[in-house]
Amino acid sequence: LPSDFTTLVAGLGHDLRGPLNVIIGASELLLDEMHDGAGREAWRDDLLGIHTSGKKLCEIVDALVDLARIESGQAPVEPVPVSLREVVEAAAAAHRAAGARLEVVPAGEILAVPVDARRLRRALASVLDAVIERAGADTVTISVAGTSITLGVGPSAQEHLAMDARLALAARICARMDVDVAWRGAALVLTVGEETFPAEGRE
Amino acid sequence: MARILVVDDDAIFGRLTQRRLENAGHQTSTLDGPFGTIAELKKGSVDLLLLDVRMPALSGVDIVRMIRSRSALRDTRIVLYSSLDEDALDEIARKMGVDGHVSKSSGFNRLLGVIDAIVGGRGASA
Repeated sequence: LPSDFTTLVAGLGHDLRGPLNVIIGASELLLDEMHDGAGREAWRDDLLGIHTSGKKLCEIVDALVDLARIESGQAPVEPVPVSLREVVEAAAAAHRAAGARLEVVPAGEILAVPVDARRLRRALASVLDAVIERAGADTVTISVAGTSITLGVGPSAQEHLAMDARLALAARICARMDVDVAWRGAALVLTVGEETFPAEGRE
Repeated sequence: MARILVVDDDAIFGRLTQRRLENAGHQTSTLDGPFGTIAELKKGSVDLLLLDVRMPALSGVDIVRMIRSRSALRDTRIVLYSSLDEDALDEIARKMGVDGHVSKSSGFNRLLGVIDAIVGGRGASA
């Protein structure tokens, strides 16, 4: 993952143009086909493509702006003690409501950790969007234990996610909150770091 | 009319491209990723490969190399179709010696023009 903001932004062109090209292409196709009445059975898919791509762009722009505000000092991170389970459940609830197959599994003692809960929830939601998009019909499993959140991701999805701007931006925002995002095998693990939550301070 | 194989890991965009090409009178098939491209080309029923560049595991560049290293497929006409920066796409296309390249952002009519030029035997231009 890019280690500095400028490199990260410079690499975003493809990820911004991708969904924009779907929006432009699908809407042009709709306009053409609505004019001559052809292809009606595919219009719903076209609209879904436009909607999904718009949401993806919105997430990238939101994360980019938030990251810029953090890095410029305009909106510093605000850690408060919170249960990671609550953060995960809040992020998962919105996805479940949208029809995603998600299972949250407590995998051990869950600690209250000082973290910017609002930002972590947003970052996790963005990561989940990317993971769910690649998981297809499979159920995505999230396990929470100690100071870590682990998302089970298949090897094929992992290759796609490694190129996903949403994940790169979320990881960068997490890094500013001292939350490490790393691959461990085919799992994506978010861990609240030692700087924010030193071992000697844990209950 | 050309028989076109569309290879794009963005399944939504790939299907979109397929329909637009078919509306323009071409015959198409699609793959939602790089795997299976060589097998599909070996069937011999493709006039032109429309190939995304940035794909996981096996990039469009890898696919072009694989095609060019196989004598039976070496003459496959290839157009790179990507959301990469135009300068980067120009450079990749020049290095790989493909028949054409089009930025996905440059409009569908441009893609049609490049395809028509190539399958019509008027040479490649992007």
